[in-house]
Amino acid sequence: MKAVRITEAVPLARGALGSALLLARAEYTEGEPDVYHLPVRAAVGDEATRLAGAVPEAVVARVVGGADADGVLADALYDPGTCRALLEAIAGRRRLRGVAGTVVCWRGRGFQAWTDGANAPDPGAPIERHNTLVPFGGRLMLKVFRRVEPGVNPDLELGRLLTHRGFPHAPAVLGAIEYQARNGEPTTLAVLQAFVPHQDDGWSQALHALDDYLDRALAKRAQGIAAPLPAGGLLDLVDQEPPALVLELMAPYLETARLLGQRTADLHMVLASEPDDPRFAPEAFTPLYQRSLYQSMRSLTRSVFQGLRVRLGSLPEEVRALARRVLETEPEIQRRLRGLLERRVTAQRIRCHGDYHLHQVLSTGKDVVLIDFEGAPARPLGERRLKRSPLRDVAGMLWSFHHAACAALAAAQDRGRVRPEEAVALDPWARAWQRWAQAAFLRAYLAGAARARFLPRTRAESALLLEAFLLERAISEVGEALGEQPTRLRVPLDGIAHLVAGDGA
Amino acid sequence: MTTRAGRAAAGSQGTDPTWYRDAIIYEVHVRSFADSDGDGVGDFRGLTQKLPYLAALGITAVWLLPFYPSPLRDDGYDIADYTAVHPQYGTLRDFETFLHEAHRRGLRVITELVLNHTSNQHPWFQRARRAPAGSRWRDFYVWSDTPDRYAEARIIFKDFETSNWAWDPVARAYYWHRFYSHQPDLNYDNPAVRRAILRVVDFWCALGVDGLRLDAVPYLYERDGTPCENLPETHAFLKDLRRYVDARYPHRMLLAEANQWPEDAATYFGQGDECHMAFHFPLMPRLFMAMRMEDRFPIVDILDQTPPIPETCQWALFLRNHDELTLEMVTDEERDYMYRVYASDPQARLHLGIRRRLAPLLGNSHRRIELMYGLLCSLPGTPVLYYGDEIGMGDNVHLGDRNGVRTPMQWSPDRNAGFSRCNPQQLYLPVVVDPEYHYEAVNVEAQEQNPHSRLWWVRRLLALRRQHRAFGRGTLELVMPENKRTRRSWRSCGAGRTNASWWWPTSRASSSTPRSRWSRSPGGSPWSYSAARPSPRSARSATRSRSARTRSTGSSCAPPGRRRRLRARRPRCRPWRWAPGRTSWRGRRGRRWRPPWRASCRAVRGAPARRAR
Repeated sequence: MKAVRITEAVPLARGALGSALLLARAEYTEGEPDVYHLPVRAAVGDEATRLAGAVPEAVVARVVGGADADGVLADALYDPGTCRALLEAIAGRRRLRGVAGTVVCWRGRGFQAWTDGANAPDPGAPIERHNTLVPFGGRLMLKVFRRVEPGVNPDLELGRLLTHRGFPHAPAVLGAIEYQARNGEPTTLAVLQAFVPHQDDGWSQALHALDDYLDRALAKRAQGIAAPLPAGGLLDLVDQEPPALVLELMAPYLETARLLGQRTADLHMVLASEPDDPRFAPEAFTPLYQRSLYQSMRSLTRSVFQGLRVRLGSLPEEVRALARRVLETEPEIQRRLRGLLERRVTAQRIRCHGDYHLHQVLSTGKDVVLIDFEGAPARPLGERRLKRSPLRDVAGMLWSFHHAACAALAAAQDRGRVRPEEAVALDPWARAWQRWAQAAFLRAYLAGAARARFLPRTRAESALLLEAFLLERAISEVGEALGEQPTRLRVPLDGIAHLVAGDGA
Repeated sequence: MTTRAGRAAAGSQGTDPTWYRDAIIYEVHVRSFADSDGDGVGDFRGLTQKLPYLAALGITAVWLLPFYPSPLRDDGYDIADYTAVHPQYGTLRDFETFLHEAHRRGLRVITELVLNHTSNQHPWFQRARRAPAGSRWRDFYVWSDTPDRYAEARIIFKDFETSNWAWDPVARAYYWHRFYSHQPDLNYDNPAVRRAILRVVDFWCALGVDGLRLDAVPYLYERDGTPCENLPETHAFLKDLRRYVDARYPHRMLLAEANQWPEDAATYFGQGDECHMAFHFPLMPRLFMAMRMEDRFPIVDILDQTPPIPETCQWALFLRNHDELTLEMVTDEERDYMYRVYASDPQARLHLGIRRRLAPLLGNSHRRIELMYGLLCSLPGTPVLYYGDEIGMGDNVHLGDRNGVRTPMQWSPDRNAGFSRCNPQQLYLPVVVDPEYHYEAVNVEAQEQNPHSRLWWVRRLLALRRQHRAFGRGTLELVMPENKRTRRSWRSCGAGRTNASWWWPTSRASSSTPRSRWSRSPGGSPWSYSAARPSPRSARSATRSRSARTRSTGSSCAPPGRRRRLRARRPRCRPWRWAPGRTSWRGRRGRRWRPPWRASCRAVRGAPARRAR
């Protein structure tokens, strides 16, 4: 990091030692600068000591000197007063003047219903993920974005559309805080959503289901039964009924996967239902778009495989052989991707979830709720707002099943429930779970979106796109893992090997 | 003046049919260059007066944008008469004078042949719209009763047009236009159209024009169920055109403007029997991307995808031109990246492109501009320079359409930048008065007097390029050092090989210092030319200076003071090494080295330059 500059400070409360929303611009030695959003609160004297004692990680800086005693500058989201002030700002649609722009608070129509009018719910402790989530008394959730860019955040943009359409399986968007600089697009700082009471997220649910499944699989294996691993590609399984063994082992999760597929189709149908708004209107696939899709996948493949080749020697032992096998399949992968050039695809591009996987699904017991529409956080905002084929979301979820299966097997080994030699034998069982879950999801999705024009007209085209998107997902994960944690290479490499071999992800 | 027949037979001078492979092309619009009659619009006489400047610059061919009679609603690309000169720019006699003078100075002239469409003011269209349906004149253009045909063809000027069909109330039918609605497309299925175009070619080639740029060549034909681009019929027509030109006018060149992916653009060479040259559109935005990402991968990747072309054919490479920096041949993510880093001002974006000149795009950074020019001249193909970029002219994004990059040439700090003597309000477009690129600072006269200016640097670069045939005709072999911020290649032609290496300028003080190096392998005498910030002395002695051969992984630079000693000993390793933990280059005896001739090092290292020991 080269420098950090505070480009904007917007005071929330009047008076000297109030809270403020800061925008800090971080410049790096290479790459483009980032802008970070920091709500801060200055506290002095007793309050400062209390805050520092209670939540030490919230303290950003120490304030030395001044007329009063020393104090601290702390993350304002840990201070209930500030959170309440933010909520009141949204409720009152306030405009707060800053140095170089204005903070504008917006409130949706559903806000009244969710807040009972009279008393604002109490804010709870913030939950830190890549965004900060501040729950309000179990009814509201304020999602504060940390790394912000000019342009409407897709979480807000898509959330508003879904709320407006009354889509029940996404949290309603009730308000937002945006920063409007003198010129340029507004920057989304925070989004107020309805809190979704849930038991589990899709990932934990899948892992629980896999735990049970693997236990039963062990028992079946002990009886000498072979794993119900299906043959054929992704879409071939869609028409097949699961055999009795599979139903016996994983019927509840098949139902979950079916429901998930149905809800995904519903989501895409709603996102594609605004033909008059240029931000959401579906666009047909053109040969030029297909060419550029092929180009991006081709370049990604080449650059990642080049990096893999260079780093092959330094990879961990267990991954090296697998990496070598995958590197040999590069010509085959390029040949499959070229199918995008040769075949004319009749589909549409729409606004999609962008980062769809099992972590973005909350299970409310009877149904599921889809969250987090902001797209892959590491990608720039403009890229997250691009229209793509919805099959990319589907591929993301199918890939997530693969991850769940691998993770469950690894976790079972770690916990000692499965011995190492058994793990090798259980691998086909885990893959069988994955394939049948994928098939159930895909069947429900295709049935739910049967009337949609955004899906390709023929099965072959859908298979082509799904395979390309799965390969893209796997290869980009390899690229990320190469840079950060080579131990995480095994899962995506395994997926690529299976995809190329033609038996699904 | 020689007779027309003589000119037709010989073209310009020289007997080399592949002269375009060694050419350096300068793109200029007559109206933007120099105004001799004080009407505020450039003309041929003014252009002729400025020919010595062009000759001194080092270019070998001039490409003129359309100067034909036109209502000028698309900057001259909407043509109302193919075989005349717009009265604003002069007469046909003025053009012939210009042609003769250019040839006398050894410059070839390339003009435009806007094949695909005409202005709706062209007599052909006026006749066609009044002719009965199905007649020979009517069929000069493409008509339909409904706007539904050829639905797969994309709309090229998305920001201005919503359909490729436009209703004509006189003809009471829709006519096809791939570009603006006032530019109806000619119907190449009609043999009369093809014959008429060949007569136009006859006219200009007979005058002695050396090359024709075929504008919008992929869009000539239309067929249902296709995107109406790159159809086989287009290639058939181009083969006929080539045969026609080769039979009657030797040593002429056809340059295809086909904004397509490399494998599609390469089809315009045919088997060496279609166009001689074609623009490499996909490479251009990738040069800018690579520059910003400090990574050679985009360039290497697109070169990898570029198919081999016939021996007599040549790619035309360019950084900027009169249009917007087109971002059609990139992925959505790359386009988003380019918009973000190069066109954060939404005014700069147009038609899926960025309408800025080279210097504003690169932040007026000397190093970046030098790097881009170096890449342009060392990659396989003929470089095309846009007028004004050699002095680092600025632009004006607040002018409509793409006029921001078509402002008058800046010759001097005088009135109207020395372009014209007229009342400043009469100029066809206002001169650039942006504080950073004001014509009083950025002009030819000022830069002529400063031997360290951009103009001089470009002259020296072009001289260097002309010196080595490998750049125009050689093969390309990419060397891949591990540091992806460097780009190295060998250009081989005959017995000589030329090494061109480029390091991306980074803001970190590291061994990747911004410099470019050109060296030849032993076989001939080894020499090097450091072009980062050449002094007049080093520039003059560039061809004579010698230094040790540099290895492919280092970024050392032998100081000129040491040259003589090194030549005698021919050491195999670098005399200067980067000592880890130190902050300067150390010689063998640990002495610090300061290059006395690089004033910029003073600024970088923060210490006064000392004489080299």
